[in-house]
Amino acid sequence: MRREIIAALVALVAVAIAAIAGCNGDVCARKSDCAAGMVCTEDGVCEKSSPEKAVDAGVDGTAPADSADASITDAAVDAFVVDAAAIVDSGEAHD
Amino acid sequence: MLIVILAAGVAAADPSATKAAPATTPPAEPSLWQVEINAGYGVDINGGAGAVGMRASPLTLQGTIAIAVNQEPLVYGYGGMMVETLDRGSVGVVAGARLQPEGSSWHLAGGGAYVFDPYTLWGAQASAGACSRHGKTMSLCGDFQITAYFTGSDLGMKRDVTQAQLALGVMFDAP
Repeated sequence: MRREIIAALVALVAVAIAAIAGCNGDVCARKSDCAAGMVCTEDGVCEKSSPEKAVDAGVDGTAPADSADASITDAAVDAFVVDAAAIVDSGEAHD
Repeated sequence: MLIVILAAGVAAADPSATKAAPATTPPAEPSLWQVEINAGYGVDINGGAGAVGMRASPLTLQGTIAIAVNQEPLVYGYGGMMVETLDRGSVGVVAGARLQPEGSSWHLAGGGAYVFDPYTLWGAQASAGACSRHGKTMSLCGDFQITAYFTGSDLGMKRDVTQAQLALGVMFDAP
């Protein structure tokens, strides 16, 4: 009986070693499978998380504190440009 | 002379020998509780919505205490701690039931695993194995163990992972 147990254990070890040897370490399922700053996507691939991507793109990934003011300013500039164009157009029309 | 020899023989005889001797050695009395420490290593089979693949599993260390909850069939309820190490670190708990047919060295177990730090994972666990007794209270055990994690903060979106591990350990019986 003891020999059978040892034989079974040896067989299991052999199967485990063979399985580990055939592993594809690139496929993830757990976030902890990926390195720091990476996330496991639905496709099972470790990719950089959104803030990390933003840093790579030269943006810090966070909205500025006065982003609302900035958007209002942008809207005002756009409106001014449109108004100016309209004035120029109407001036040309007078001419 | 013949009477003396017979008298000596009767005097030396073991009184218990007059009882009907059993055909085989009776099985040892099942112990009320057991303590086991084991280490498991194998593969993670990663699946879910995307690609399916295998990678080496973390090294899983488990320490459990089992208490007999039923004598026939012999069933132990167990619970304890688990630690994942080698390429990550986490702590969790395991609990379940182990069926150990009387007089057999084989056993089957089923239960659950919950990893709670630094992330969470919920899973179901099943194992089959055998123990070889060494000494009065110590046994060396080998198990083939499957753990399927299906939810938790450590799992990627729509991903699941099944661990197939070979666990080797030491078990101590109650004396």
